[in-house]
Amino acid sequence: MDDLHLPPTSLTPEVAWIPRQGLLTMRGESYPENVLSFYAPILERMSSVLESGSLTMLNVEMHITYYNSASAKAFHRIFHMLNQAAEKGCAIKLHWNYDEEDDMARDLGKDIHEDFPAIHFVDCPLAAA
Amino acid sequence: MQLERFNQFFSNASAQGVVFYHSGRMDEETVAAIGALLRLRLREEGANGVESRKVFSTFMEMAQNILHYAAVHEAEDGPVGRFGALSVARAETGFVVMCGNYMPTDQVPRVRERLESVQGMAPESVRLAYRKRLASDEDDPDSKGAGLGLLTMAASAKAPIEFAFEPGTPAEDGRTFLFLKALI
Repeated sequence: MDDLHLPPTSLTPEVAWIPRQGLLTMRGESYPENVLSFYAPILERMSSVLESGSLTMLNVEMHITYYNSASAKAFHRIFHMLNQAAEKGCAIKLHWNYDEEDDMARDLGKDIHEDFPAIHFVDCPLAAA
Repeated sequence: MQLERFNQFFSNASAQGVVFYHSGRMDEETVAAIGALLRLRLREEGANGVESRKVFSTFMEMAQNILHYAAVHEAEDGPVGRFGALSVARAETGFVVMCGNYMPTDQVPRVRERLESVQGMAPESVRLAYRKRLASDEDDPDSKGAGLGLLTMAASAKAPIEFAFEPGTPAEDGRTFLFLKALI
């Protein structure tokens, strides 16, 4: 019931939020015209589960091949919320996947790692195809 | 347009190294379509992966700026919407990404101040300002992208972002043309 599945589009990533299995996946590209209207419902859905305290563990898989600046802000919000849940005892692991030549994604991962220390951050550079 | 004029237009564009040019009304659908085309063109031009990413990212931030901040054209007999021009051209060392659009004149001082402040930043300062903006809680009411867009362009560019303002004609119509140029 709490699950959320959004298929990928040319402007938005595939999103899968499956709290029963402790899983959040975001894959693809992110540059919708209105970033807030895409991410706000996702944040809302996540926050209701996280605030209930029922989630004990979460594995996050991120692989965003291109994101615009407004999307970076949205990711920061998501990890801010997850960091708060982690501080309250939820074991959260983040696999930050990016193409190894993508400096922007590598740096954003570094920022998220430093800003949200309660999340177990796993740096995952991928060899260029 | 006469065939000859078109020939001139085409030859000029080639001589200037233009690999992509689009001008017109911008919406989400247009951005997705020209984005896909730009990637194809960059591949054909033999841009390497890093270059290609930075050109695409800069181009998209410029497109997003037009979508959010361009003056809305509301002529009675013409189409309604936000208009802009975007181009990517070959430079001696890399690519030049440029955009131009009308913006409300009353916002020029604020935009100029922001552009000048980023122009004066060394690369490490751009990175620091980006981090600060990213983590800032409050949304800047005047900026839908939290100023991150400009910092993202500045972080990708090899040289400070160039800009110019041209008052509209007639000057009192409340619009000013803004140009931005980034060397990637």
